[in-house]
Order: sequence, then C-alpha cells, then structure tokens
Amino acid sequence: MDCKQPNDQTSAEMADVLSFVTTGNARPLLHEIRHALDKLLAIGETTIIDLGALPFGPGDARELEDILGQGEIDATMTIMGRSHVRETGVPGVWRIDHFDEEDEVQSRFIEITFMPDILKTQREDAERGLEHLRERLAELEGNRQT
Amino acid sequence: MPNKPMLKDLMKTHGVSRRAFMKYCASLASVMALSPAMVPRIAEALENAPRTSVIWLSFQECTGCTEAITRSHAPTIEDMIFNAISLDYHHTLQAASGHAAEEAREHAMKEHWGEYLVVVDGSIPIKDPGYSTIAGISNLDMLKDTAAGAAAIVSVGTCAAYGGVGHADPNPTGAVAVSEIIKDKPIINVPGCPPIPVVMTGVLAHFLSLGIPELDELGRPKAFFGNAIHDRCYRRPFYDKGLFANGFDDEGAKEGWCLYKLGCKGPTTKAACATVKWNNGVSFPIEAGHPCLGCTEPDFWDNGGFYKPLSVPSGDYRRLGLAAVAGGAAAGVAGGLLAKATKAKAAKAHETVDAHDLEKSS
Amino acid sequence: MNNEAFDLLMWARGPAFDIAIIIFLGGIVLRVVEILVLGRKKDMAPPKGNPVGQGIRTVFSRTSPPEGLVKFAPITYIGGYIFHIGFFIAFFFFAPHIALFEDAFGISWPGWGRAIIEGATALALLALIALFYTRISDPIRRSLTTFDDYIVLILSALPLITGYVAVNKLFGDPTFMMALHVLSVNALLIAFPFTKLMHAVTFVMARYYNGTIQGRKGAES
Repeated sequence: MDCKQPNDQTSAEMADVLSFVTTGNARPLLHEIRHALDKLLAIGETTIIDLGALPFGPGDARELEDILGQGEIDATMTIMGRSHVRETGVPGVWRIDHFDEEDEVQSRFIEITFMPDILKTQREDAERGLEHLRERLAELEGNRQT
Repeated sequence: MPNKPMLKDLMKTHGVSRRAFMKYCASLASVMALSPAMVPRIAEALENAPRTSVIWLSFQECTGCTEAITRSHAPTIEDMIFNAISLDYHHTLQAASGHAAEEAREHAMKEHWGEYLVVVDGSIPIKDPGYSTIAGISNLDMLKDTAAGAAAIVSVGTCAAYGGVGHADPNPTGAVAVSEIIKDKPIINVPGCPPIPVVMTGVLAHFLSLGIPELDELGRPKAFFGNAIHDRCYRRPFYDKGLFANGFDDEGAKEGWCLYKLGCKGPTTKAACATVKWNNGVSFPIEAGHPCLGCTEPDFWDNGGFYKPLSVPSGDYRRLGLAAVAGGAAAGVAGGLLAKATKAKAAKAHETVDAHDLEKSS
Repeated sequence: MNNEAFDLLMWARGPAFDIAIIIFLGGIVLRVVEILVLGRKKDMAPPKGNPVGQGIRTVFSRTSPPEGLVKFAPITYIGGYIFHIGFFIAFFFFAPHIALFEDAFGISWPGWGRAIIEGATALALLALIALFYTRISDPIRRSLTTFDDYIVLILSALPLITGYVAVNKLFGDPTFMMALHVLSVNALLIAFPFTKLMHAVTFVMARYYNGTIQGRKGAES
C-alpha cells in the first residue's frame, strides 16, 4: 500500500478499476493451455505452467477465470501451509495455488493433466502411514495382552 | 563415505511429508525462475543430496544478514535444511562461544574436508588484522584456513560480496570482499544490505540441488539478480508518463509516483526486491515510499549520494562552473584587448599602396 | 569487485562532467566577451530609424524562414526545424534532465511522457540523417562542408542515440549505455565553444547586429 489510506468505498472502486488492468497476456496463455490439452489427449503428456513467471495483471486473472471457470473438484490441502487444487470448468486443466504458513502466495501453477501428482497419496507417505498404523496396533494389542 | 546421512532421511525424521517436499520443490523452482519441467530434477537432486555441512563466518558485519535469514518466521523446508540440518558453525547463533565454538568449526572442517559450504557475511580488514578477531584469530586467517577445504563459498551481504560499508570511503580498516582474498574457489555473491531472506535460502537450496547457479559478471545468481529494479517496478508506468514525486511529502509522493527524482537507484540496481519483495512478499522500499539505495551494487555507499538523482552530476560542478565563467570573462577581455592592440599596430604599420607600387613589385 | 559500467558512469557524471562544464562555460564566456571587447567603431551620426528596436525584432523574426526558401531547400529548412524542436523537447522535458536543472539552478518544471520524449528524439535523429544526406548528396554543399561540420553533426547525434538506447535497453549494459550517454554530452559541451555549435549563443548577437544595421536608416559615420 502507498501512503494514501483510501476509505472502503474508494478501495472497492479502485479494485473494480484495477480488475480491468491487463497486460494482454491472458489470451496467449489460453492458447498455450489449448495446445497443452491437445497434447495431453494425443500423447498423454502433462504440461505445467508457472503463473509466477509471466507478468499478469488483475484484468488478466479475471479473463482467465471467466473463460476457464470452476469445475467439479475443489480441494484444499494442508501441507506446510495451505494448498488449493481445483479443476477448472475445462476438464483436464487444473489450478494449483500454494500458500505458506502465513497464507501468503508461494507459487501458482496451471497444470494440464488427468490427475495432478500432488493430489495422489505418495508412496513414501503411505509407507510411513503403514509403519505408523502397525506401531499403533502393536501398542494396542500389546496393551490388551498385559 | 557410506554412512553419510542423506537429506531425504533427515527430512523424514523431521516429519516432512513427500507432498510437502513436492510443494517445496515446485515453489523453489518458481522462486528461482526455473521452468516447472525442472521440478523433478530438483526433487531428485535434493533427495539424493547428502547432508552438506555449512560453516558460517561472520567478520566485519552488523549481524543484519543473520537477522534477516532468521526472520523467515514460518519453518519452511529451506529453513529446516539450513538451520536444523546443515549449519555446523555460526558463532552468533550457536550456544557455544570462544574456543569451544572454534572447536566445532575445526571439527566440521576435518570431517567434511573438501565438501563443506562456507557462508561469509562481513568484510575482511587487511590494513591491520587486529581490527577484527574471533577467539584471537584474525578474520583474514580464519577465512583463508576455512576456505582451503571448502567446496564453494557464498558471500552473503554486500560487505562480504563487495566490501560494503567497511569498504566505503575512506575505508579506515582496509576492508575487502571475500573475492579479493580467495581466488581458487567458486564464490557465489548474494549482495544486499541485507539480502532478501528467501534469496539467501533459495541460493543455498540451488547449491544443494543443482549445484552452483548461473552467475552474472559480478558473481550474482542471475535468477535473482538478472533484472534491474526499474524494469520490474510497479511505479514504472509513472516514470514512463513523466509523473514524479519531487519531495517525500508532496502530491506526487502521496499519489505513489516514480521516485527517480528523489535519487532512486532502481535503473542501475539489479535485485529481486520488486518481484520477490520483503517480509513474505508484503512490500519493498520503493513500495514504502523510499527510493532504492542500490544496496546490491558494489560501492553503493559512494555512488554519488542516496538522494541525488542518477542524472545529476556528482561533483562540485556549480562552484567550478562559476569559476569558469569568471576565468572565461577575464580571458575574453585579455584576448579582445590583445586583438585590438594587434589591429592598432597593424593600422599604424599600414603603408599606402597604389597601382604603381603594385606594378613595380610584380 | 567493481561494476565497471557504474564506475564509468560515476566518472562521467563526476570529474569528466566537471571538466566539461568548465570548458563549456569558460569557453562560451571567453568567446562572447572577446567579441564584445572588439566592439565596433563609435557611430557619430544620429540614426534616423530605431536600430535597437529593429535589432530586437530581428532576433525573433529571423526564426521564420525567408519567403520562398522553404520551397527552394525543403530538407534544410524543415529538417532543421524538426531537429531543433526535437532536441529541445528531449533536452528540456525529459524528467531526469529536469532533475539536473533543478540541482543546478533550483528551478523545475513538469516533465513530459515517454511517448513524446522518444518521439521527439526519433524525429530529431531522422532529421539529422536527412540533413546529413543533403550535405553529402549535393556537390555544392559537400564542397562547403568542413571537417568541423561533420564533427558537430556526430556530436549532436550521439547524445540522442545513446540516450534512446539506454532508456529503451536496446543493446549493451544499460548502465554502460547511460555512462556513454553522459560522456557523449560531455564531449558536446567541450566542443561547443570552439565549433559552429556556438551559434546557439551567438545567433542572438548576430541577428541583433544585422537588425540594427537595417533599422538604422541613414548614413553611418
């Protein structure tokens, strides 16, 4: 924020004005997504696009949201801070937003895939889970025997 | 060494899940401006990286760099790798002091000879090594000793990278940068006064995962020091429109216009402040209304004044200009009078020549 | 470790500028004072007309071209106007330049937007190229051109080119290009008093002098 302290009304107006500020990057990005989806269907290749790597104005974010929309899946994950994974209205196109423990944006991605890897249970985690479950059961059954 | 602890196992014992690791690798790639396609490579490299010993040397410094790096509040993974896993010696942070602390350093050096990473903050006085010592060891000796077995050196902060405030004119201690002393080891400069915490930890993570990052001609990682502040500044549109703050409290300052005329060094300063920002992306100096001082550049203390616009001459040109006007006027009068005298003399020596004379001479 | 580009910039805006400004100001004053000291013979006959008024009027009236000459030498006249106006705009209305005047004299005025400044710079450069072309393509003009004229042409073009390149980061390290820009201005300042660039000062004197002769009306004695 700058030194100016806008009141609520002007900041709402400001947000409205800002939502029209564009860099013109939304359109080429949408084309890139279309190509990636083509490729996913043709050869099954996954594409990840880092939204932090390109200049993006509030108006661009709005245009992207308008066209992609909200799909069927919307998952919030708690992994060292929040992570937000959701499928857009275009199946196969996912939005992944990582936040840190203070809920500040850490990184933002668009993933063109049938299933984002981060949603799947990871083998190592499952192994650790199994170990944990065995220990707890052993404790439980050990207790019962005594 | 077969029984060397692997980073992967250490992370597991610290309760870091695989998902958290994946998230970290993705965000790390984003922060380092690497393509998302690099994420699996980063993950694989980090997984298979052995625990790297880090020795942090503090010389002529203000502890601002250490303060900054410990200010990453959230226990992020890089923080964990760095503080909990790798840091073997840091005399400001560790409980031991004096000779006991030095023993820890020597032990770490012996154990990991040729493989440890040395982080240096602060400049090194060479006029008289007695200006700065730790447990009776001069900074110069300690740096030479410790660097001898290092895999690489990271110079954290402008003092270690370029000499910083210690090196500023008139440099009473003869302060120099690490690179002036150590010539045979790879040195990564992470300048800033202090550097952005995430930049420090990001460089460290890059070193651990993919080795030494690509550096610019001043030894800085290009991922963080590739762009001038001016080119990434959110106030840039005001510069382009010709809208400037002329004071710290005028209308332009309140409107958030460009700070160039208040001495902003954004156009000549390469750093990630305008994009990564400070305090977890909250703000950076220009956003807070203060011009950039150019703290990631060599000799920024002596670069013509913090509040003098870059386009303004830095010398004593006004006094010199007045002297030149006076001198020019005097010389002009003298020159004019001389010309007049020459003219008068020529007129005096003038002889009347008529056609007959001309005929005679030809 | 040093940033050589920045060190060059510091030298250009420090000692090099100091030297340039001494030669620039000292040189101008020297030449103007010399001309004034030389003076003219005292005129004993009272003038019939109003030489002072006509002199002052001529200083301004000669800014517009004599009738018919624009058609006769269009590139020289139109190109000349475009170059001078473009250079003037880029020099006096680019905010970093205004900061310099503010530092030197304590006065400032609002700067103009980048589109105008860069448009003016580009037009001034194109005009310079056109003027250069007429100079070398016309055999008479070419034979009248001295080495001095080419130097002046190049010295006027360099600040425009380097400034444009530095601000737009077209090529080279921007800090280095900025240093080159300041150095090119220093070169212009140094050459100013000793070349035809001096016309920027003496045109006033010359026009006034011519005006007074025309406004005098009557015999001189």
